[in-house]
Amino acid sequence: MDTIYLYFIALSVAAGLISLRNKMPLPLKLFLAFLCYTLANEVVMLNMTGANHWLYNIYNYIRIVLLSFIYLKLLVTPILKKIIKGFLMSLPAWFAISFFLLDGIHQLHTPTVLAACVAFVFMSTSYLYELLLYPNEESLLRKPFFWISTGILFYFLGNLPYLGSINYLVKKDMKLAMQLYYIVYILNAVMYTLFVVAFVSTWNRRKSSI
Amino acid sequence: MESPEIFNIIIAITIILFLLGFFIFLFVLVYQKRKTEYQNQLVAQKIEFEHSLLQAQLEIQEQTFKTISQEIHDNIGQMLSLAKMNLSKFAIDRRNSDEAVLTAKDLVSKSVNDLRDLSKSLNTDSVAAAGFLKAIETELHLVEKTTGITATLTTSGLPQKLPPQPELILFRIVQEALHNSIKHAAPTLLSVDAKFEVDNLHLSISDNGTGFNPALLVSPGIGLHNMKSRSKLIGASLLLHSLPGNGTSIQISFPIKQDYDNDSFGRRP
Repeated sequence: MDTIYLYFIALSVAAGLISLRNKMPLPLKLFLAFLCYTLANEVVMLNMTGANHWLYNIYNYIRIVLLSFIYLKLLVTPILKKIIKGFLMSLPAWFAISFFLLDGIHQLHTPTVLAACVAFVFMSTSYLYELLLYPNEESLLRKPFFWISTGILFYFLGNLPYLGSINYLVKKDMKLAMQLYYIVYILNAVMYTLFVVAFVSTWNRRKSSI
Repeated sequence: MESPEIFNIIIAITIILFLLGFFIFLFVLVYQKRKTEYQNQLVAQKIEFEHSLLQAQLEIQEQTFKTISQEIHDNIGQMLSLAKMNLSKFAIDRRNSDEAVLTAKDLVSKSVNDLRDLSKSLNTDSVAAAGFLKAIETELHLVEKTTGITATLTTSGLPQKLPPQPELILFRIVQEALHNSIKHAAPTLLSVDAKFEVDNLHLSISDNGTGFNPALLVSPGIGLHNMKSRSKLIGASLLLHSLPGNGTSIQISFPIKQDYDNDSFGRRP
């Protein structure tokens, strides 16, 4: 059960690599790079002995930068771009607070993980909002970032209550904590399935639009 | 895993998938509605653009006919009458025959030249055929001839070919600005300045007339309103500067490299 999610990530990476046959826009290429990095990170973490939180902390900061950069490329509304840039610029502060004041390197940087969750929900919602604001001739189902953003929105929105209450639940009700953990697992699988759909939606097309 | 746990997980999967399906269905529905609205807006803008284009063409034609009628009445008619008088004088008194014939010949050849100019301006596609700058030059030449006002055209930068539809609308805006100035400002000097940049054309139409205080305008006249709405239609910006006693200047900035097919209307910012 613990490694099933790896197959979903691998499947989305494979779909992305097949999509490389067509000309891909830069944000989609970056997203594929992000997925490859996620897969590599998860494989390394799975095979590591001892604490691996430090590796997840590094992964978390890199994914924030990567996804923020991707959404900066996708979004067109200046105020939304400014908010994302502001969040990116505050990242060293998040790191400093987590590293020096709260958790150190070997503890999970929970505030940053939570902030990242909120930021990803914000970015994906912003993209979906812009889709409605500026519709065009192309079918929505052919837009890869519609699927990607839907996946991100569902996963991180569902993840927030779990992440927010995990420490409390582990102490008070381990059974409930485990059940919530399974829900996160399901959300994870749903998200990577949507990423696969996103890449598949670009197949058999001359030019992929974002 | 115990069976109640499996049951809970199945319930969770069902709820998540149901929510996801509902979200996607709802989103597609709203998107389709917005898309239809956008397409209708696009069609409306296209119709407005074509209507404005047609109106500009008709107005240019009307203006041309006015100028021709004025030209025939004030210039060619006068010259031919004078030539006729000279020839009549020659029929009565043959003593100064050479001078009378020469004068009549000069007058007739001037009239022929003027008629040639007029026949050129009769061409309804004159703007497209001659090009934007040449059409403005001809217009300024006609203004000088019919009103006596000094009218000049200066260009800078590398002149570029403009797309035909905005070219016509820009010409009509310049024509409207010139005629507004003649009608309301009593200028002695009119100047058009065209500055070509890589992506933009900056046009300035100025006069040294009476000027006015734009802040005191209760509502812009039809001419100014037309100029503004047409500028907007081709994606150009129009600014008016005027001061009482200091003349008026209209500045137009037109982005040259933009598409004029369906996608140009209502694009993402």
